[in-house]
Amino acid sequence: MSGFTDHPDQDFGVRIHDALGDAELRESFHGAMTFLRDKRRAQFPDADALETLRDSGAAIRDRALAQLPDLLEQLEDRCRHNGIQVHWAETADDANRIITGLIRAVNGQRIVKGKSMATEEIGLNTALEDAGFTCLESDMGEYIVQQAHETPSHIIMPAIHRNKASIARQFAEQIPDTPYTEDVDELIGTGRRVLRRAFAEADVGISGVNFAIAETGTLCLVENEGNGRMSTTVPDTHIAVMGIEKVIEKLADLPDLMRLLPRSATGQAITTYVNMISGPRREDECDGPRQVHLVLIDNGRSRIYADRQLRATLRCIRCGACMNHCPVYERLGGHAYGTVYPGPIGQVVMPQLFGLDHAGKLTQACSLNGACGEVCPVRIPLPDLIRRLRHEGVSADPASPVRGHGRQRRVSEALIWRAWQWIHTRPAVYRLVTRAATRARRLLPPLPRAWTRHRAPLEPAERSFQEWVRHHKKDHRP
Amino acid sequence: MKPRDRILSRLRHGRAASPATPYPAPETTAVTPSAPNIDSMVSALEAAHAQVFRMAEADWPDHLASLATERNWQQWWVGRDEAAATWQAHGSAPSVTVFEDWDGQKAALFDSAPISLSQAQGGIADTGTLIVESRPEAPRTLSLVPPVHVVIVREDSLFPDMPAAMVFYSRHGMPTNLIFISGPSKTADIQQTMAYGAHGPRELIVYLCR
Amino acid sequence: MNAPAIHRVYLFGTCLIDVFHPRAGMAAVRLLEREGIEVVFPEEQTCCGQPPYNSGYDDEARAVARQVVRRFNEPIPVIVPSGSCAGMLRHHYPSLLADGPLAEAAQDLAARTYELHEFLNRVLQVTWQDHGDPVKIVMHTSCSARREMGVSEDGLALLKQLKGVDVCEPENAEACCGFGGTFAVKMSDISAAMATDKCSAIRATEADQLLSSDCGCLLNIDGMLRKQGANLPAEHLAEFLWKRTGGDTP
Repeated sequence: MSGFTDHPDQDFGVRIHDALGDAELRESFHGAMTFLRDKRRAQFPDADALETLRDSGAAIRDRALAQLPDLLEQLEDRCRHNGIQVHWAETADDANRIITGLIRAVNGQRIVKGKSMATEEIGLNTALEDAGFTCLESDMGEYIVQQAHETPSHIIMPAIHRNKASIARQFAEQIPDTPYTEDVDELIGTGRRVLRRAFAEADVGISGVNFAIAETGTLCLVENEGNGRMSTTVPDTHIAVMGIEKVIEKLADLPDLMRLLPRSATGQAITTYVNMISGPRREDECDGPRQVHLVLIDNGRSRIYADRQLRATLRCIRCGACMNHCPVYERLGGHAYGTVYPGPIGQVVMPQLFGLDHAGKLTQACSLNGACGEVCPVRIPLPDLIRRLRHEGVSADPASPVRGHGRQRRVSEALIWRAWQWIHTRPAVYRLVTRAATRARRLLPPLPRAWTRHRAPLEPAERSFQEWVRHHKKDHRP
Repeated sequence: MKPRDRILSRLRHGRAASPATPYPAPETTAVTPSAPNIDSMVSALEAAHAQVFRMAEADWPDHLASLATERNWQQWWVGRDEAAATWQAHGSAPSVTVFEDWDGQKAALFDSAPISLSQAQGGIADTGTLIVESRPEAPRTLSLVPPVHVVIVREDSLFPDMPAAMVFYSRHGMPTNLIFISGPSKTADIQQTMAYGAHGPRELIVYLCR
Repeated sequence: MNAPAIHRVYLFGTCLIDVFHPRAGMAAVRLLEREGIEVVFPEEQTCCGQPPYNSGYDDEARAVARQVVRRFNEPIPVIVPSGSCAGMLRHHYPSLLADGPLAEAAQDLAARTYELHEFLNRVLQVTWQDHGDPVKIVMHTSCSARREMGVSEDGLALLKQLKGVDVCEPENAEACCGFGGTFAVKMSDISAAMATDKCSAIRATEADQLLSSDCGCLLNIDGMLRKQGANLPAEHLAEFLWKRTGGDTP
């Protein structure tokens, strides 16, 4: 039940039910989310400074988006000048074909990958397997998840749904000469040992990109483990994969984004490593990849870009703070969503990528409490976008920009709201209804079931407030 | 049309069809302090689990030699940078390997290089960050593969903060590989428990020199 | 800072208060009248339109929003004893009505909309004497009041004026109670999981009474507390404030 699907609406209810019923899972997520929220809070002690920084983050990303096609051309030009080969992919399949072709061209045999959500999004590992390649995930969390044939449940901490006992069991069973231990240092030591061998022997390294700087043709990658450095430095060929929205204008834009990203993600002031890659090794350099490729992926982004409001989706810097603060994500975990990007940003991105007919139901798993929008470092108005997508889901407007629009519309619900409007735009009718409801309050059936399963039935008051107001006014008339 | 042109054309059409005013930049911009705060460099590095020594530049070889004796560090790996030359000239290390032949020495670097020494080209004081540029005399993997990494950095090469560093590189151009290092390699991927030495060095030892 | 002279305000009663918590509305009227303010209650009001709006049925919500904007047209403050309904008027009407003839009127309405306790605390700057016995209450601030309206401090500030009232907040006070309007029905299991945690945190405070200034949250939390058989009465903040500061049962 933990695989990604391109039709997340299917069995969403079943996955929700399973997730809510899994006490161990809920404990894992509750602990992890509390930990990450506390760490983030500690990094932003000054509320005003944080708001100014978020303004800056939003402005930098919005300025980049306003110039997106121009910056992409500039990035391509600067990268080529630096010796980085640039490839453009319109769809996930195109991207996978390009990457497979690049690996074949260098006769790649051993492939390692640093953590990259873009490659998860395009399903690269599966595509490579289909082409006869094995690609080893090298981020510790991704490695654990891949070895267990699972998918990540969080975009920053992929194995957050697992506790150390289950990882200890997995390592002891699957890695030769590994005794069972719950000592985290030893477990990481085991991962280090296995992956070191893989790094030393790899001929192709694949990575994501956090920011691409158009000014200098630089690919910026942040990480703590060093697997990003390994993947982009040791193999002879480095293939970087990024969504087209990740470009920023200049180096000067980087500091504020770097102040926001690790703090929002894991509550760190800065990550251990910030890689800034501006080309393959030069003739006179001793190490580094001989070839660097950049694969730019559209995969639906240009369609999102075409809508003024939905464009804000593309500001995202993939920090995961929205999911860390989402009360629904905290209770379901990432797998229940069935999507590469779970939580609030996933509920906004996925329906736009897959269409509302396939992922529109995701938008319902939100109480519009606003916690995500409050913490987003680039001020994506996530609740507004979720509400907008709910609207597009039931919209009959043929001009709707979102694929699968209107496909969440159910006649029964549409009729309810039509009736609701009829009543609520006719105050006299409304008063009749409320009068009836208050008078017949003891006779009302305990509906809806979805409510009374968990709560005492709703019980109207004896008299409505409006009735009281009318009497009150009479009493007070001069 | 090529995919590239189709993507760019869709973006240009989309932009023209629904122009939007970008989110306004805040009026107050962060003021870059004029001098780097050395204390914050030290405390941030230490908070990130690095070991920091401050001393006059001439003193680090003797200090490192005694530390090496204490820790029984024998097999040193270096590049051809200034720190390497100084260390070789000091002559206290039983074995110093110069890493200069990737294909010939890669296996040994991964399998039997316990400790490396290199010079950092600069640093960022407020985040406790070392700036390491790839150069002919400074291989990238020296600061990554051996489990212990000793770095020499001069106080006068520090930038006060990241904006100042970015101004510098914007003006002078980027090396092929620019790495900011703010501590030893680490991970909290297993149940949020911090472990050091995930893939890179377990230990980072910094000599901050006047 | 002197409070500006305000003699007349509109009251937007909200549909949940109308049907489920009329005493909260009565208390709001009394609290305002006691400050010498004439409360205008347009009879043509029904609901702010949130239920269809949050379900994606913008046209249906817009029809109701137009009615509110047209009817609450005098240039006097609009007081709403609910964070989420106030948020609807202040933050969502302008965009909902942006493309029609009422765009400007919606902006104007938004600018003079106040949540009740925000208005009492910040604009009227009321000062009160407590007339009740010592009591420990637990305050639940709605997400709309906290995040959309930014008025989470106002209710607490008013409560802190009351000497005999020991105010506390539940652990994870800023966490959603799981109501979310139609969310509570459409995603009832997730909603219930959230409400269960909220109820546990509230019960753990061992307070005598639960207060909130949003009827949606009250219906949700109180409904679950009653199903659990908890002896923890729930009340709208306005009603509690009115009774503690000398008002009779309205």
